Amino acid sequence: MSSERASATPRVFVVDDHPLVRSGVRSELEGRVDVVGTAGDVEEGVAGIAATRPDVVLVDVHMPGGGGAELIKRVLATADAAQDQPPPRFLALSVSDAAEDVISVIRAGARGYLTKTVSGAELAEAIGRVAAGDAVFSPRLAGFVLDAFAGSMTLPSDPELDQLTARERDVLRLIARGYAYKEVARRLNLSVKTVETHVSSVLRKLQLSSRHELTRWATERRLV
Amino acid sequence: MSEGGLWTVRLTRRREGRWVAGVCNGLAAALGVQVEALRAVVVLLAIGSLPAVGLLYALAWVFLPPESEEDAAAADGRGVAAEPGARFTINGRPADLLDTVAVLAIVSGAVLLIGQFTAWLPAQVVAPALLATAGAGVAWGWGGRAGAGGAAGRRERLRPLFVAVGVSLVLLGGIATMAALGDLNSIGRSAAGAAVLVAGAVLLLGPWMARLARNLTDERRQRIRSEERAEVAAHLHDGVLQTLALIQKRAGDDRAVRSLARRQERELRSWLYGARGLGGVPQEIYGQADTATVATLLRRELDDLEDHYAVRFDAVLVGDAPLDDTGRALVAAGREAALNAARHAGVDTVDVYLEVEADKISLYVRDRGRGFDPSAVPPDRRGLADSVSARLRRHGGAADIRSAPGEGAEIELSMPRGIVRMEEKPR
Repeated sequence: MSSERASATPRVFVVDDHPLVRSGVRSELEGRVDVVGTAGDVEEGVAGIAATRPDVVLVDVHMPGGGGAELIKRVLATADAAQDQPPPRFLALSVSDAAEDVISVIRAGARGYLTKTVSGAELAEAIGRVAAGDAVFSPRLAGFVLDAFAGSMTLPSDPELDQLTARERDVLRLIARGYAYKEVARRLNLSVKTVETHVSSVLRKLQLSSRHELTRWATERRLV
Repeated sequence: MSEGGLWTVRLTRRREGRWVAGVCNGLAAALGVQVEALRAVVVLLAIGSLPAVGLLYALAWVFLPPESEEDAAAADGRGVAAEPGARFTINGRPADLLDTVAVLAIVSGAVLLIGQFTAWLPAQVVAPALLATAGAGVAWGWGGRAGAGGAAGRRERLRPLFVAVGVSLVLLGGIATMAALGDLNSIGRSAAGAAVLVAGAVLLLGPWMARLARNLTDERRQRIRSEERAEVAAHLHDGVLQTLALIQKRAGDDRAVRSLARRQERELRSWLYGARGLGGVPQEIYGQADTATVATLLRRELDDLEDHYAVRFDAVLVGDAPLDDTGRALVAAGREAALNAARHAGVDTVDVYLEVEADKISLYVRDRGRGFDPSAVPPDRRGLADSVSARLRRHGGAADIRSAPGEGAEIELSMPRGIVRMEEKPR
């Protein structure tokens, strides 16, 4: 892989405790992105990310030594201390369907969540999107968010953070129905960029909101 | 002589043909003597020393387990008389000859001794002393064999209780004896004696009880761990290994392999992630027909289709509602739509999205398959039109089919709620 291509294609680091997944992801992404390193646990991952400085980190949710959320927190903490370069962006990749797993990595700072059944092309596209600073929502994540933000009986403490706008809801619904960003844009007569903006704003709300329902929803599923 | 040997008779209280509590009856059966003879001896002893025999009888009443149903049935089968092949147990384990002799010696010795004592000692001394002895027996007998063998779980739980009862009996008996022996002006000495007794008991029992407690927690932890491991092993064996074996056997059959793998994935997922693991359906109500909700019914229908067609339904389920007639109609229509996609779209995965809102339920079935022109469906293929659109319209809902050749298809089903809820009657 030449150095001029590396500047155009995202540099990716893969953290997953299963060697089979690491090599599988690496071979699927071959030629689409630049995989600069892999690690099998949180310790190794933190060290490897500090050494290789990737654009995007693909992180598994369940891992020995604290899991994906722990890795994200530690990398972001060291990046804050260093401050000489923007921290990498994180994309969670997991077989888990459980809401607590998904929401905990998102709230730790991941820019999106995909299940491991995703195809190589879709994964590469999602990595590009995350590298550009956008969010990546799988249908299931969109469903979780709609579930968490459902109902508007109580007065939200921060309307800007604690509620989804009608447009954001529309976008999420279409994603939950299996539409790609491009198809969502066509369906709602928006540009893809606008769809990405909506999704990023939903992600921000999901990460920052202290919404009553979200909290209750989270506690019901044993997460904070 | 059958398995167990001569001295393996279960010592119980036998209710069948009892006079008072069945103690004599049970003892006679265990010892292999005529119950009438034993009763005569007991009555004679009682004439000699009523409090002693009465107390022993009461203790036996309390501490001998009542005969269980199976024992009674077995006894009926072979007659009430002694049966050498039966089982004599003390504290749940077969007793050897020595144990039995010891028990008999203690019983007869105690009766004789108490008979002697009652002649020259006041009853208020004998009773507490006997109480203390019995307490020690209880503590050692039931508590002392911690971890000796795989005793039953109930007994294990009861063990601390027995120890506590035994120890307090010892203390109570000791103090009462001291108090009865001392005169009124030597109460101080009695108190000192009681204190010595307590200190002795603590010294005697303290380390042993600490060890017992440690044993208990260790044992419990180990049991929980091994039970968990057994559960995981059983599950992996039942499900995953069987499926892997089937997959190897049918490696050439692409469709069968895919469907087997998918079914196993689904099952493992629901087992691992439990609640909401099935894309929104809490596992504990998934399998129960009577607690079915719209989401569980839909998930079941999709699972069923997955088993028959080599297609995967990625279902995202938001919210849920109790199942009523309109909900059933919606799910039935959704199944038809999903079946249509599985049959005709020619794809591996189909997206399904269910959202339950306060005023309506929406269900989307979307595929990226070959698509079709909804207006050009031949009249002999009326599945979608009849099963989906008409069924929904009958219940006040609506169906919308969006498709074009080469662009996949999406079927949107919606059903109003609210009106329905008011008509809901308890069944």
